Amino acid sequence: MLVRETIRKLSAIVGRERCRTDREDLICYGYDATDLHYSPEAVVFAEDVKEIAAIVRLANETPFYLIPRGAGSGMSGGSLPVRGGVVVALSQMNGILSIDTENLVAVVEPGVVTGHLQAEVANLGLFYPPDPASLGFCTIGGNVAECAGGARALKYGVTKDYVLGLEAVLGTGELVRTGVQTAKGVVGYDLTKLLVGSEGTLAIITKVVLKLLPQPESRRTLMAVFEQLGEAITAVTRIIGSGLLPCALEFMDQRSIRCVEDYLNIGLPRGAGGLLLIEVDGVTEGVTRHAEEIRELCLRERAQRVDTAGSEAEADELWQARRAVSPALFRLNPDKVSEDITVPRNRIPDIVATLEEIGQRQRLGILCFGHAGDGNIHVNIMIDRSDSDEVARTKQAVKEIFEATLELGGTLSGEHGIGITKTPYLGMEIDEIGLDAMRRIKTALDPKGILNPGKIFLDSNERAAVMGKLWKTRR
Amino acid sequence: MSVCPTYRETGEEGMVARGKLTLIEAFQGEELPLSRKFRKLVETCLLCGACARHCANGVRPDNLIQWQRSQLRERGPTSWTARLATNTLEAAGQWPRLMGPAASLAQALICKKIPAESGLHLRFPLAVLSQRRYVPRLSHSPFLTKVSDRALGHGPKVGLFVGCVGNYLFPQISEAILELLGRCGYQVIVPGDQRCCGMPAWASGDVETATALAEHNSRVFLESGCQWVVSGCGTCSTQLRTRIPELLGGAAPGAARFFLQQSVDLVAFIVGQLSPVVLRRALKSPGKVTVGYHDPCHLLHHQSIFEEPRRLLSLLPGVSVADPSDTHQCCGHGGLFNIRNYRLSSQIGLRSISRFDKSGSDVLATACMGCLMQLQESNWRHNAGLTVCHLVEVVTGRVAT
Ligand SMILES: Cc1cc2nc3c(=O)[nH]c(=O)nc-3n(C[C@H](O)[C@H](O)[C@H](O)COP(=O)(O)OP(=O)(O)OC[C@H]3O[C@@H](n4cnc5c(N)ncnc54)[C@H](O)[C@@H]3O)c2cc1C
Ligand code: SF4
Repeated sequence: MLVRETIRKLSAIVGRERCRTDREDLICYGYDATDLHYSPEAVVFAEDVKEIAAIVRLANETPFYLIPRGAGSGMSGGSLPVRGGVVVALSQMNGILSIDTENLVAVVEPGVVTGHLQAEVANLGLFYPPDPASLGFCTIGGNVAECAGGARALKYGVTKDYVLGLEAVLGTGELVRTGVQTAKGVVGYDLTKLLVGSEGTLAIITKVVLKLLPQPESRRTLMAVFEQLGEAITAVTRIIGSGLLPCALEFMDQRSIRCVEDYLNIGLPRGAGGLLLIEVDGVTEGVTRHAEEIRELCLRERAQRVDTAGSEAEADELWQARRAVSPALFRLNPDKVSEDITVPRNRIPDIVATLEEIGQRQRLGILCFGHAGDGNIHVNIMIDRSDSDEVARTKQAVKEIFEATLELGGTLSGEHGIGITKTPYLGMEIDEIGLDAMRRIKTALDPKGILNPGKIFLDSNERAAVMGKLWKTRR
Repeated sequence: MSVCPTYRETGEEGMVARGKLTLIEAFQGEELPLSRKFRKLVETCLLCGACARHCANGVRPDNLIQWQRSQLRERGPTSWTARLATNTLEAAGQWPRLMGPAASLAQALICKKIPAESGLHLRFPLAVLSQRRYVPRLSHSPFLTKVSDRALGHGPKVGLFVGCVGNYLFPQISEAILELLGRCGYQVIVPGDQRCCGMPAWASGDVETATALAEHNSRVFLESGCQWVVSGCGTCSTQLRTRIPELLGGAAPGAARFFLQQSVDLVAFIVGQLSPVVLRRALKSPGKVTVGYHDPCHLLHHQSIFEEPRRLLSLLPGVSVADPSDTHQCCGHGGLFNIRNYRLSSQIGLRSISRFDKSGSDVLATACMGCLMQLQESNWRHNAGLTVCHLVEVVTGRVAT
């Protein structure tokens, strides 16, 4: 429990107005994009690195826990205060400090919304490629902490490929600057990469140096519909095998197609087994030629139909189908359990077949869609949480899905991170030696375990408690 | 979240729909006691509808927040603005009451001309008292005293819903609308007994007054024998088209249907009814100007009207349309929001005006009287130097270049 004296000291650091203990704030800072809720004991809105360093030092002296938070859009519970403590809200540290158009580098504060940064650099003819679907609200700090990816990852990579350097406050309260402001740099251990994806457990990121690219000259979108999902995936393999590198290659399975068609009525063939959305970008002539090659290639792989968007508006229409999947799903059932497993690209048909088998055996509706280009599949199980038997079958199905994924050489999470929702399963993928090495790094940078406790590494009691929360039935 | 103007300025979870809905749920579940902070947060929403329009799951946070306001109102308002709202709105149809110590000579002068239920009432006592504000000059003679109960012109009959601002503050805009509809070949009927559309009452949770106004207005327009009801204010047209049917649905299904089908926003009406050839003849270009168009939330989010105003502007020779690169931004007015959260409202206003300032516009046009008041004030406060006017003033060539 935080004592009044501690609150007073926190207020002295950030000012009374930015240190909150009202019930309303504790409720609002106790959730994220998962369905879980844990109440913090206080919320502080930090405005600069000095404040953050002072807060972390105070937390070490007292001690109390600190939970860094961006926009709270995480899908794995990373920003949830599972053991109470103080949420450090970074949403107000949202300045774009500089955009260097000669060296193609931007320096930003962690609370900048990803989409706002993209719009600002686009005004200068530049491009920041990582595009998580949440880009309208998630923050760069959160992206770095989760190593967020998006549809363009196939060609452009994920957040870690764009972080050149960081400024961060370690769990000890010390300020560290990592990395470089240049395109290359090999001096010392790569602490930047260590902090990327560390989910707020090693340091609070206070400044990010990002690499930018020139804006591609043009862009074209195609949609191809196949009778069989297998054919669609073969087409994906052929496209990449033939040396073409689209920036996005998204797929939807039959159930997703039907679900969207029932929702939007946009004329998708309900019988189709698979749909691909393909986007190419680059210099205009190249884009036109590549789009044509891809179209022909899809037709050769027995696509029933290939639509090419002529304009921005038409492209938007094609993407509509893909964007509508998530909302459309809720027409099937009130609750969603979603995983973002990743398998080697050519194993997509295998994993989809396994999912089909698991779904039938457990009597569950499983829908898949996602990033075919990089094997990252969003597996969605639509259930009704008031049905305890269904919840139990889903729990079993998820375990089987993870097992199958690992067997195919895949990984449990492509984008969303471990947070708390995946913690019970972490041991399935990482062995004890690996986990121990990670724990030792954690101890070195945050010896008192101040930062974001109860994430990634859990003891068996905590694991059981998380499992209980994850698979509870709604009354 | 990405679209919520109040969240964009504050970065606080309690300001965004997700936070407000969680708090409302906690309050309804009796996990959260009634507090000043809760009231304040429920009041700090523009009801702009951006969140609802973008919600993947079809949730209407704006309606839920309005519902919570009406619930809180039953438990007695505490903030002085809410009390003021209650005072003025409850006195629907009566002569205004003076509002305690806040009453001043200026206020009394203005109040005399504005009936108690008008949304304007809630603005001007305060506006006049506060030195910081830009206050449009109140017209000497309200539009409805000059033009009412007369049928003007020939052709199919259109009933003009004037609205409080169009009546008291900007009668010249109402005149421009008359002129435009006449040139478009309509006979315009302006029922003299029409009242406030009821949006301010509805938004502050006073469903009773809003319903009384809906009943009154629907009777007046149905009796006038018009074929359509048209309004040049996006807020009024939303109230007529979406809320009147909601509020009257059960009691008066005929009136509800009439307003659902036959009440239309001015811009959507003429663009929807007339061919470009006819329109081109009816419109008058102001000459060589660059015009930026601000989408009122009530048109964009509540009625999905986006193309129509742009199409109108594109028909004017000499006029080029500025297109700010970033996305739509609410003006921050939000009716009573502007009074209750003046600082925040101005901050949002600054963001919306600077989009156009940067885009090289000479003229900033919009199609909602609330937006118009707010944009004029932002323009003045931030010295943006734009000519801020109603779209109809541009397409009737009235805007000075
Ligand atoms: C609709 C929707 C779509 C999504 N789509 C994608 C997608 O396509 N790809 C994808 O990768 N993810 C996606 N996500 C997940 C989520 O948006 C990302 O994980 C995002 O990076 C989280 O950013 P945030 O600012 O919301 O961080 P939060 O959720 O607030 O925090 C996430 C983690 O980062 C830590 N953290 C935040 N800021 C800092 C900081 N400054 N320093 C240290 N630690 C910090 C927190 O402690 C927490 O562990 C989606 C989420 C939603 C709701
Ligand atoms: S209606 Fe507008 S201001 Fe209110 S929560 Fe929704 S987006 Fe925010």
